[in-house]
Amino acid sequence: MEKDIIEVPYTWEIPFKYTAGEVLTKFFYELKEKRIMGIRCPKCKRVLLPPRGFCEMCFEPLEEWVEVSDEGVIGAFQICCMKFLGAPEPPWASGLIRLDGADTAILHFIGGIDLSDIEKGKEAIKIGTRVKAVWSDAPKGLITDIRYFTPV
Amino acid sequence: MSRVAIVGVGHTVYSDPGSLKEPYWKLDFEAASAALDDAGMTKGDIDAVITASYDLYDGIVISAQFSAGAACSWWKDGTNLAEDGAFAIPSAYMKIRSGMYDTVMVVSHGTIHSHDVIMKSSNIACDPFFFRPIASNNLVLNALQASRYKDIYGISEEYAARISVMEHGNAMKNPHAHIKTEVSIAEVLNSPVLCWPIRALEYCPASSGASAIILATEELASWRATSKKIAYVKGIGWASETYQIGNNGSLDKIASTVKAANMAYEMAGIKNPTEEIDVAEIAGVTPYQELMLLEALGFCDFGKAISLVEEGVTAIDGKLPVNPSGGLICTNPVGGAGLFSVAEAAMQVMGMAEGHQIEAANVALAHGMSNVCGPAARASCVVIMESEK
Repeated sequence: MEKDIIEVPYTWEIPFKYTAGEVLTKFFYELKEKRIMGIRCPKCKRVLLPPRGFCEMCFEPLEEWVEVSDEGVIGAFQICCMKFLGAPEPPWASGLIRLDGADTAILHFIGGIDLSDIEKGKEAIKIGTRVKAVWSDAPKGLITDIRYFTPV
Repeated sequence: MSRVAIVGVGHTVYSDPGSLKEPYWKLDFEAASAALDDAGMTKGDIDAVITASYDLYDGIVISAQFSAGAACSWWKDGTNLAEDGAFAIPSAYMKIRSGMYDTVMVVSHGTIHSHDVIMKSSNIACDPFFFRPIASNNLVLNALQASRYKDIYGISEEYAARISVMEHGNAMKNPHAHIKTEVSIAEVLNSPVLCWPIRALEYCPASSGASAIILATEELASWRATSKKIAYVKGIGWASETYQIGNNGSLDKIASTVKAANMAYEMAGIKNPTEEIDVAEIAGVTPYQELMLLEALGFCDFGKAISLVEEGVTAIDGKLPVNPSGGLICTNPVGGAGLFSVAEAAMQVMGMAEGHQIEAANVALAHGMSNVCGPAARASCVVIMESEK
């Protein structure tokens, strides 16, 4: 008789810490004050968001901070309709958003719209839609201090 | 200088992760053994071993510890790449071209055992400050890329579904493919949305299984039993882009593939890939990504991949069949996917493919990529091989 193959279950629960470093620490302190800061590369002149300590393309260290708007344009989006471990209850949406004054896009949730009908939802947040940050009332210095972006 | 040859190829059966009966190291062992048999070699004939795997997907830190011995690396140079399996090919190629070794075994696998593991692990593959808290993972990122490409070039859902139907049809002919179900356009379009615009029948599975390839010097290859054809590596290219998917243009074009393909074409002396390549195995995990790759590989201009598909060029009986294996939409051992594609392409030029063998396939292209932070295709690898005429 064929026996069932034995399986041993295991769950990883290991506390980690990630060092933000000087650049991201400044970014998140500013975010707490509802200011979104990008960083400009002296060589390619792009304002990078998320900010970083160096430009990978030009291989230059970065230090020129530039405040960008909390409004911008959706460059790509998705509407998630399935349940993932650790993700919000579906349906939920996220997108790549290029904020006014930045040359690169950030990933964030898109909210404040009815997603129960995908056809309507995808029209409401289609590429090119202008969106604005909706801020948390209790900012913690995390990217989720912006709760989501919503169509203007 | 000696050319580098592919002298042996081995696949395990590819199956549902849930039905896995063996741990990944046993799959590595089976694939390596099959490649040795195919090459007419034994463990002692192998000088060095390269494995490729991702720790978190295997659930073991330094998961290669278990793969090394399973790929016959005892007392040998055994190295591991935390990268897609295709990237082991340039490393193996250089080990031989350097004159250091005559034979290198390359082994890679996928054994993600559940939906939770792939979604949560690919979330942890994202940076902890900006991407992880926004619930990003492989699927979400691939959906972002798909929506962008779909919008720019006005790709209809029917066109995307057509790619999936073609891949499923090809997989039916491939005994090694994982998903073997014939699907219709209507079935694809009626399958549930996972993340808009990607539907369930348009997205790659997670497949369990392993592939192995043995590379050797030309001298050794020609000395080997000559009943089978040998595949020679004619061109090879690989390139990295940025992790940051929000960077300019990285969602519109798969730039690392463009770069890798150009490098490989230059080395192979290929001027017109569509005319000179007989068959291609490429790493698209969604129909949209597959279309983008046809463009990035220079098979057509940007935005014209749909015409290429419409004209039947990429069909299994077309001028340049793409993914006769059924591609990653039907077999996707995460981590080992690129090596699966290289093995399939090699089998085509060696005349070893079965129901999906392309007639007169003398030049094949294989493409693999590293997919997190997903859509930007952070890194790509292209291998061009040619059979001895």
